[in-house]
This record gives sequence, C-alpha cells and structure tokens, in this order.
Amino acid sequence: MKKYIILVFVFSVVANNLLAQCCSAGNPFFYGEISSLSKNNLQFVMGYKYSTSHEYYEGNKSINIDFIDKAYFNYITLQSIYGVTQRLTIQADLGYFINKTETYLKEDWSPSKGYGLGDATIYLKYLAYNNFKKQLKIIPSIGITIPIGVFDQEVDHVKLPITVQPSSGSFKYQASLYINKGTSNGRFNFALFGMFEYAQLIDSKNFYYKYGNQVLFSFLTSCKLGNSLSVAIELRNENRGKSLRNNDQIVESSGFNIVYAIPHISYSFSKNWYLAINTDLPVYKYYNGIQMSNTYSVSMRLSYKINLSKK
Amino acid sequence: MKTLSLILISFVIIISVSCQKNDDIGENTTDKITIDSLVANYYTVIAWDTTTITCYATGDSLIYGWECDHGNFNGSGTQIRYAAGECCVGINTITCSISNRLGIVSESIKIEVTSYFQK
Repeated sequence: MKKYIILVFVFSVVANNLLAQCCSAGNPFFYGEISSLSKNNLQFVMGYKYSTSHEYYEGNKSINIDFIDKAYFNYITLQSIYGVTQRLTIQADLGYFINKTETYLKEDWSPSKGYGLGDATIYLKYLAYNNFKKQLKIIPSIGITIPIGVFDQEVDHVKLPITVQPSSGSFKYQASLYINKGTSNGRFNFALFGMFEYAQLIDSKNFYYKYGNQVLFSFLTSCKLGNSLSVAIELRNENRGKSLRNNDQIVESSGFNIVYAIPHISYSFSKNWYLAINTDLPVYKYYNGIQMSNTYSVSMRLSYKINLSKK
Repeated sequence: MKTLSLILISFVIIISVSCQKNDDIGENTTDKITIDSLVANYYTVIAWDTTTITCYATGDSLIYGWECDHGNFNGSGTQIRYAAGECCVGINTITCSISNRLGIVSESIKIEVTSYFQK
C-alpha cells in the first residue's frame, strides 16, 4: 500500500500539464499536482516554465506574417496543497511572470514586455473512489481562477497589449476528472485527465471580451526506473473555443486544437523531495484563422511534501 | 473721514485690479488641457498593417497615455503607431488620455481592422 501511494505520488508529480499557447493573457495552465493528498499532508510545488512561439499558423500550416518575431515568457508558480481529510484536498496556485515578451519584425517597433503577478487558482479535489486492490483512484475536482494580478500594465503611459499582460483579467471556472490506474508490480502507472474550463465575460469600461471555453484530455503512462527515477510520456489534446468581443462578435482567429507529446522525467532526492522536468512538443496544431502558435515549452518542478500529523 | 474713504476706495480698486491681473496670469499660463484633435493617417487597416495616430493638445506639462481595447502600440508621447492582427478584426477603440497636475482629459477614435484574408 505504501509503495502504491508513493507511486501515485511520483506519478502525479510527474503528471504536470502545461497548456496555454504562448502568449495569451494570464497564467499558463500548470497542474504540477493533480492527485489528492492524505489527511494533514502538505505539499509545496515550485514550478518554472519557459515557453516560446515564433511562427504563425493558419489552420494546420505555417504562414509568414511580418509582425511578431517571437513571443516568449518565463513563468514561476507556487502551488500549496493540503489534505484536509482523507478524501478532500485543497490546492492554491499563484503565478508570477518574470517576463512575458513579444519582439517584432516591424522596423522600429520595440519589444513589448509585461511582468508581474498573474492569476491565482483554488482547487477542491475529492477522492471519490479509491481501491487499493485494483490500484484505481478517481478524483474529480473543481477550481476557480481569480485574476488578482496586473491586467492594465503600461510602459511610458502606453498600455501593453493583452497578450503580454500577466493576468487574464477574467474569472475562470474549472471542472476536472483524474483517473489513475496502477499495475500489480507497481512499476507502471496509467492516468487519464479531463478538464473543462469556462471563462467569464470581461465587461469593463474599455474592454469587453470573453475567452473561449477550453476542453482538455490527457493520457499519461509512467514507468519507474529504480527507486528514484521515473519517466513518463503524455499525450494531451487541448481544445479552446472561439472568443467573443464587442457586440458579441465572434473572434474568428481564436481557439485551437493542439496535440502535445510530453516526455517527463522525475527524480526523488529523498522521501519528501522530487524534481521533475518535462517539455511540451506540439505534434499536431490547428488554429482557427491565423494565430501565433506555440513552438515548445520546457518546465521544471521542485516538490516538497510533509506530513503534519507526525510529531 | 474723507481721506479714509479715499484710502479705502483706492485699496478696493487695487485689490480688484490685482485679482483681475491674477486671473489674466492664470489664463496665460494655464494648466488646462485641451485636446485639439486626435487623428490617424489610416482609419481602416488590414490586419498587421500599421497606422500612426497623433494627438494634438494644448496645456502645460502634458503626459500622454494610450490604450486600446484590441491591438498593439509602439511608441509613446504625442504620436504612436498602432497595429492589430486577425485576433482584432473589427472596430477597435483607441483612447488618448492626457493628464497634468490639474486633471485628465480623454479622447477616442475608432480604427477598423479588416481581415488579412481580404488582402
């Protein structure tokens, strides 16, 4: 049982998902820990992500547009996860952009660079089903993203474009389901993750916008190599619907369908410390209209877990 | 008594003229902001093409602020360049807000961004 719990934990730390094409407003999706925790367990995950985009896509093909040369960001996140009961886990994520930058091909256009606090997200996860014999866990969860960060950042009194604003400016609501299945030898693990996200309309004085809703499916299989090392491969499909702007006009060049192949590797330094690295490689991209497309991203997570019940 | 009245009248006249004079000084070196015009060299642009927007204003120590509901700016001060991609096709509002120690005044113009596919 202990072995199983450790395996699930290793897997779930490995099972990081880093969505968000570069660069859209707000935090990139980052769920370093998608499993639940046992009662009185506390876990901190420090995450870092670098993402870059340097080509436009029309549908599933690259297209030359002489505007943005490169869009990239460096992002850090702190996740705090606490097992309230054996079944209920609460998680709080806070994101910060070290930079969120666009450089331009147009002559004399200087780069746009945003930075600062992004969004905060709070999740409630419930261990709905847990069968140790079958090594099966089912964890539904709900979450809310709160735009606490900067959404009106300026340079020289000129407001930066929305794409480099650290915060999305919008409340978002998530519902997800995580299913984890282990094998009897404890070496392999399989997981399914599905999520739906609804973005609330932003209706402020100068801005009317609603991000498209998002549906995500992910399949991940992991393998333990020895006691400390784990590798995993994840296939993730991310769908975002079209956005709405003034007068409920549909933004035709918004929304996408992307499949990522994501190799993961994680290493446990001790019982409580883990380091995980992964890279998101898009293997299929379809963008509605013409949009900047994500080239790749790399992320790293350092996780520390403590049991507060132990004196 | 007559002398006192003359002094008092003179004092009132001096004060009145002084006040009038102060008002004149205030108008000559006003901090009031007036936006004379906010103009673009193109009011309709194809996605990712650039238009230059200029704000002509009078007043002292003016600070020019720019914001738009969709699209990108480059530059600062009285003149900026604006461009927007396919994401921003439609009529976009560009607002110039000018401020100094007395307050803030704003003016907006609409720029229509048409689709790249219409090129």
